Amino acid sequence: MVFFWMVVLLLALLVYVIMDGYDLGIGTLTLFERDGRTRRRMLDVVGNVWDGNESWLILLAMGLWGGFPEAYATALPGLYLPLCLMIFALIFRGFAIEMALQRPGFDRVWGRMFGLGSLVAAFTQGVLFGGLLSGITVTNQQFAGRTFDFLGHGYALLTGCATVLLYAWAGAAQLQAKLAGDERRRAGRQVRRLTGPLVLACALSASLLPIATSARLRLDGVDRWLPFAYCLLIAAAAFYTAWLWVGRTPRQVSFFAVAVAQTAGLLALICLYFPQLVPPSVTIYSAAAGRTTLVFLTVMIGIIGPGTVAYGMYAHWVFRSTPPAVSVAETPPVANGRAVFSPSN
Amino acid sequence: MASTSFIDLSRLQFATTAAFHMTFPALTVGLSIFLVICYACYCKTDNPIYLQMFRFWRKIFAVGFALGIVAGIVLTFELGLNWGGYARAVGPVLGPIICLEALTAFFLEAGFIGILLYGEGRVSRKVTMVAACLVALGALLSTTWILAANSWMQTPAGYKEVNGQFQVTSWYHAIFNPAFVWRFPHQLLAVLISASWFIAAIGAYYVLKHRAAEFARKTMSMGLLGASILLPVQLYVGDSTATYVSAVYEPAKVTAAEGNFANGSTGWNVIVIPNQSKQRDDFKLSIPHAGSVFVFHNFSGTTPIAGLKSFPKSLQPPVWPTFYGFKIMIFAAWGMFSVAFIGLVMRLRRRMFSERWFLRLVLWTMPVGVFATIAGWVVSESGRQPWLVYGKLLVANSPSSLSTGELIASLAGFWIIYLVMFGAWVRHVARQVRSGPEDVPPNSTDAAPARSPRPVRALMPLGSE
Repeated sequence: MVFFWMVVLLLALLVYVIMDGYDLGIGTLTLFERDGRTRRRMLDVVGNVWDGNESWLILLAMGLWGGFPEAYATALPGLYLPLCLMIFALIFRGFAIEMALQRPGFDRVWGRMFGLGSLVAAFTQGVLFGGLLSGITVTNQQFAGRTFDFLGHGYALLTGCATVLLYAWAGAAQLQAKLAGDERRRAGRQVRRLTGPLVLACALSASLLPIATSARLRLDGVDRWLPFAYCLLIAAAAFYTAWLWVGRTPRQVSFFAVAVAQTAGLLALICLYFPQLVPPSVTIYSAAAGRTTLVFLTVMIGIIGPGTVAYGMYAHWVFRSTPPAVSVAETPPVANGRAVFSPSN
Repeated sequence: MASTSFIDLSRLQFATTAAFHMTFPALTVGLSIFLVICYACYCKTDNPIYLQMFRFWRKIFAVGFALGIVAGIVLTFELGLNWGGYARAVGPVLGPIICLEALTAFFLEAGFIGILLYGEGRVSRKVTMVAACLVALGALLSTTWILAANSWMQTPAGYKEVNGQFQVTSWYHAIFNPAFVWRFPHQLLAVLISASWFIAAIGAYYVLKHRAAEFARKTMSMGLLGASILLPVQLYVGDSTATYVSAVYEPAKVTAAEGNFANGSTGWNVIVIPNQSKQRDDFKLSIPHAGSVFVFHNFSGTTPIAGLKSFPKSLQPPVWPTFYGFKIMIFAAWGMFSVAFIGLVMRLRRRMFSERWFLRLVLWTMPVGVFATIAGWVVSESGRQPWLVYGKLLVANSPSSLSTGELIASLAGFWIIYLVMFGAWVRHVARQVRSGPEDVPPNSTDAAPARSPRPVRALMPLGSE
């Protein structure tokens, strides 16, 4: 039961990283895009999916709270500052994009805010991840470390940068699937340009992990090192595929390869860390809620989960092509500052 | 155990972020239902005025809804960030309930809000209608789960305590706890009334300005009608919530809301200046016997009301917020009820749209419903103090071990961001209202330009702004 709920949370985390990863990445990329019309289209790609993608973060947080209350109660205070910063960035970004989308064209102020919020959110998520991996001091089932422990002697800043690159890479891969013509080619070039720095950042983060962390990383036993090795291989292959498939059909392959790489990376970390949930001392077994809670959660997710996934996919299917439909259509001719009726449209 | 000022900082942070969050659901839950009504009327009658209403209110709904979501994300994290002890203790009970909210409500809303807001032209009318219904359903479910979780903290049920954690023994009793049964309809009515009032006020604005006459009248009339139907029910449900829930399960809350320290008073206090450290009221203005009538429904007005002195000082809720929150809520409700009643009389005399003082009254009382809702939450939360889970978990035992610097930094961050967002939101609504419903060409059906089949659009040069 405990293990099942961990798998559910892992899935939520994965879906979140894949989905919100690309929309945070697109947000970050708007900062580097000069053409106002392209920027607007990038907002439109994100506009109708961002809140759905962020729901996975809430599910993750609340699933963690319900299933592993002790992990929730220790990891959050332990990562207080970056988490607050991430929340600030996420709320500001969500608000900014809705404001930007309510206006025609690319709204300079809110559009920039959206880009900046996305960048900060991506960076702080990397910091959070790095902070968690490097370990959180827990005594008596409470967080007992200091304010800046999350930095892990600067390791978290490295993972922060790596995450920004990763998300931007995912965003570019999604854009090159969703846009057309010249814009698509440019997005494709971005995918290739980002691959090098990203691989470097990932390799650096991975090799510094054993030094930075206070957790016990384990690769003893074939059930750990074999999947670990496979994950690394798959990740490498996925990186190559994403790079190779730019500009080819089917257009989504590049983005799927990105998703595969993210999945493989996460699974490799699980091989190293399992069963630690808030390393080094809180494990999935010590943090698990009582049996009634886990049974309830499992039953509920069994009933509701499939429907959730189904209509999430339907929503993405409706908006599988990007052009703005209503935002342009709803802007009537304006005369003397007051809108006028157009007799027929 | 953390120091008092430290706890108060966390309290202040939660109170302000929660109040900010509540402002938006207070409007958007009702607006989502209003959108369903408008679009249903449009589908049924083909009258473009309903499409105009639908599109106008959708714009105001969109940003408010986004604000509600993001401000809600804050709360879900804050529970663990600032209240680690609480999060660990109640996680097995409240975690799954909020998790269910995410699963049933957030995903539903998030899945269909895109279709509701931007889907016109991409999907058929029927799908838009279904999307509107599902978004409204999501909003209702969200209200349900939140009220279940919060009510459990007021009247915990269906659990046992194991190693300082609450473990559930019966989910049925935990979810349908005694307070939930009354507080859920109370809250639902509150948000519906707040939204109706807001809608009516905007309608009144257009009537006053002589703009979009048909739209204006219909909007105002629908809003006021909703409020006039719901308000009497709310007066009954609100009264029952106080008498059957709070008075029975949380007597200290009712006592603090009545504002008496000494036992035996029968009056109804209108204004008090409480002095909690000396355990007396420095000033008191009260209506004799009315308190007994309101609290006990005893029309002889002689049953004495208990005072706060009957509780140990360390277990008394703070009188200031509880008392005045309660008074604001009550007076707002009575005020709206009176205005709605006047509106009803004028409607029957066919003068509702011509009496300018009445239109102005409705316009200027626009946010009263939201104030009342927030005031109600102030009563329910501060009246529960010093408990977090009533009678079981003290607030003092609940915070995380953080540094004061962290708390001040986050509090300042939230305030700045919330102020900016609130200012921008008010400006957005004001701008939408000023630019008016005329923005939407009423004769067009189903967003004509987006009708072209997808492949063509993929080739078209886009962003023709």
